[in-house]
Amino acid sequence: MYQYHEQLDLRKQLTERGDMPAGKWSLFQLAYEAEKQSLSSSFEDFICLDALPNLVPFPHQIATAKRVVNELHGRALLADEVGLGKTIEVGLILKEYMMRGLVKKALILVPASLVIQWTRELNEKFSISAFAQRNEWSWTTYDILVASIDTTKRDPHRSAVLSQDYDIVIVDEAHKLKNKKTRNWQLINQLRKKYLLLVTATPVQNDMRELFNLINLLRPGQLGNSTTFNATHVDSKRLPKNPHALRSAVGEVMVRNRREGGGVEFTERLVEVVPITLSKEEQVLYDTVTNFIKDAYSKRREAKRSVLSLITLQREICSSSYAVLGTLETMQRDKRLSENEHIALSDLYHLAESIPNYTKVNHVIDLVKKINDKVIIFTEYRATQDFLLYMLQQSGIKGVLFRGGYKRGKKDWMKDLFEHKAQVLIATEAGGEGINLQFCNQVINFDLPWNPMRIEQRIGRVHRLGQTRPVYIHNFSTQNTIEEHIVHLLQDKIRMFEMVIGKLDVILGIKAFEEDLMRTFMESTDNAEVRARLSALSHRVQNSNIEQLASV
Amino acid sequence: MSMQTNLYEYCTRYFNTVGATFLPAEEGALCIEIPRDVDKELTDRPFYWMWVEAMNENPPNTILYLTFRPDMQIQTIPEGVKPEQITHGSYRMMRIYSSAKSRGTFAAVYENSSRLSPYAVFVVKISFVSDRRIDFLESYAIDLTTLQVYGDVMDQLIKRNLQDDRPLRAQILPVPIDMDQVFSLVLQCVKYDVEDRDHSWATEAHDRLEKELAKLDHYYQSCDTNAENKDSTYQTDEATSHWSIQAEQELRRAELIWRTEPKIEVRPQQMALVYLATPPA
Repeated sequence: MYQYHEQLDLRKQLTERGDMPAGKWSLFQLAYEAEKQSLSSSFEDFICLDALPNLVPFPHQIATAKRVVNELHGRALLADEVGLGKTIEVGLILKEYMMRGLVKKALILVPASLVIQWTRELNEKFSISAFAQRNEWSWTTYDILVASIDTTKRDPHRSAVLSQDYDIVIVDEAHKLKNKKTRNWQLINQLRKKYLLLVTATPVQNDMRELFNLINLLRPGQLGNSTTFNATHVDSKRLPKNPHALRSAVGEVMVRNRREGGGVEFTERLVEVVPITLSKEEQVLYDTVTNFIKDAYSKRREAKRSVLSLITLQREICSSSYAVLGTLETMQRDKRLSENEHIALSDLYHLAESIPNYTKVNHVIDLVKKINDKVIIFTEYRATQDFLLYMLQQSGIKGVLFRGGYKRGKKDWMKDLFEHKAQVLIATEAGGEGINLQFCNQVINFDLPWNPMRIEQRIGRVHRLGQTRPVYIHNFSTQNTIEEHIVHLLQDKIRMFEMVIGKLDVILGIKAFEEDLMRTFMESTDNAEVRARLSALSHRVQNSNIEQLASV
Repeated sequence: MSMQTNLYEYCTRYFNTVGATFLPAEEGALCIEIPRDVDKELTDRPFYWMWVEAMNENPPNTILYLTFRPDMQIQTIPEGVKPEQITHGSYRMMRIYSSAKSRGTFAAVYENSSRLSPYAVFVVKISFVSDRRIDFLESYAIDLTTLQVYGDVMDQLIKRNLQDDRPLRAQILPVPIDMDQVFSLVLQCVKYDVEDRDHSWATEAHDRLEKELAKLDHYYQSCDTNAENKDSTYQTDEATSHWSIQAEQELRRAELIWRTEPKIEVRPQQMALVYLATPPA
């Protein structure tokens, strides 16, 4: 029934020493107690939790880790939605296996940009001495190694990795393994490993076959072979034939926690519209610019020229008159412009320049003063960002900037400055992976991106596990401009701010969504038409949600 | 928290036994000056010691300040010493455990009495392993004169008053010890004990292994027939041509057996020569 192994290290030790050393009885007892401490005294219990008193995982994270170890036997697809702490689950599982003596050698494959972060988290949160892979020798030097999958799949690293046995292999962002013909997939397939964890929030991105390929790495045959899988489970590319059957087959290898439902408590989101009425001069500028854009838009479409700079201009004019200046300047340099256009543009430029007062910015300053706590202000444009920083500093408010182009170290530094020295963080992007700003609970959307995913990313930095206070979101909405429609569409129609990311992965064709918006604004003759077309658009989005919910 | 009190008590005993000097500390904390040999076991810095020894340096002994509560207010602390919070899984605690284990592998002890007979005491770790694991720590004592074996002796022995030095007026019977015989005796006893235990875990793991292997084979068989019928994604694919489907099947089978097959590991961990006035049962 079982293999029986006797390990006689003790006998060997005695032989080497020649005779029995006379040690102290008190040390013998201490050794006995130490041994008892590190015992796995039942199959089911999680012993690593006692060993990590500074880590307080959420109930769903413990439940997931236990399920993977006890029921899925250590080969699993962890597919929690974004922001539920998959890293913690992975850490718990790894730590548990290590403490039970079941894992000694581990390989953690992650995107290159996350190698350092993973290494740090495993060390700090889980006291696992993990090392970042640096060179060819790392593979054999360290037991717990974090490496970039793109490095690993190339020789000489690939053959180094393939010549070893791994007790556990963990792959983060595992949707990169969706295609069986890629070197990524083949690497994982050929690795010799006991346990395997694949981690991704999006097990299905475009095609049901992606799920099949992922699961075949874990447990070949779980979903039948590719022919029977197609026949029994696939209806269309994105739709399963028999969701219940698929779910139960997938459930034997996959854990997916959702944000809504389940034991995951998120604090409240309070969304508020801050209506803003432009000053007379600003309204004139806005109308003039918009008319110019409408004009140029139809001309350019006829000529089949790019309308990109027009879209940008239209969005910038909603942000601030300051943001427009740069784009106007660049457009003036375009040699294909006609004389009339040239004059129009330079008029616009002067008009924008001569704005005496910035209503929106003044509102921000008032609001920040009223909040009197840490605030994150998001804007899409660097010009607006610089301008805001300048204006805030003029009113004695300390702010720091945050941009996508910053290197990791600078991002961390800016985050620290914001946490300890400044009141305001002015950001052009959501901050990227791993920058968590839970200590702040006030978000001002100075302007809104037209891409719903980006909005959720913005809020997600603040409204995630670990946030203890309700999160306030202030959406600036300038009356009588496109912005008013956008805020209305995203907030009231699509209910963007109540929705959760998981459902959003589905508003497919984000690009198409943005183009639709632009066309709506440009081609509609009056406000009523804009409203009607936007309402049709929001229906489309809602329907795609329902479709998604019906599947896995 | 009782767990933290246990740790405090454990550390106090440990540092006492290894001959560290206790310095004044807040209540519930420990401030100790540790001898160099202990230092080497509690902090991982081989290059530092290599340098110290090569340069013939004589640095002062390290002082540790260990706290056992997270919210500890510390009034006075020796200069240059940082307080460390000790928890069950902390690095320092792990090192203390492993130092205790290596120092406490063997012992020779006596009961305070005039007539003593010798026993060999073993602590044995028994692990049931499949994709999960469970351990048991058993202790046995073998009467070296009669070769009678007693089980579960540690609980008994802890209650007795044992000392490291041989009592002056004690009569000790000289007994020749055949180590190999003693070891094989204890292993035999362990084997009997193991056989008596509940093995449903092994049956379950074994059945699961069989089922999974069958499923694998079935899957690869169906892929084979598929491949014969029409062009398979496997064999026509250029990049995978050197990696055959048979190789994949072999690998998956090997992994499955590696992971699931039930195994029992028996590992004698500690041994003591104990002189007792009366048998330990």
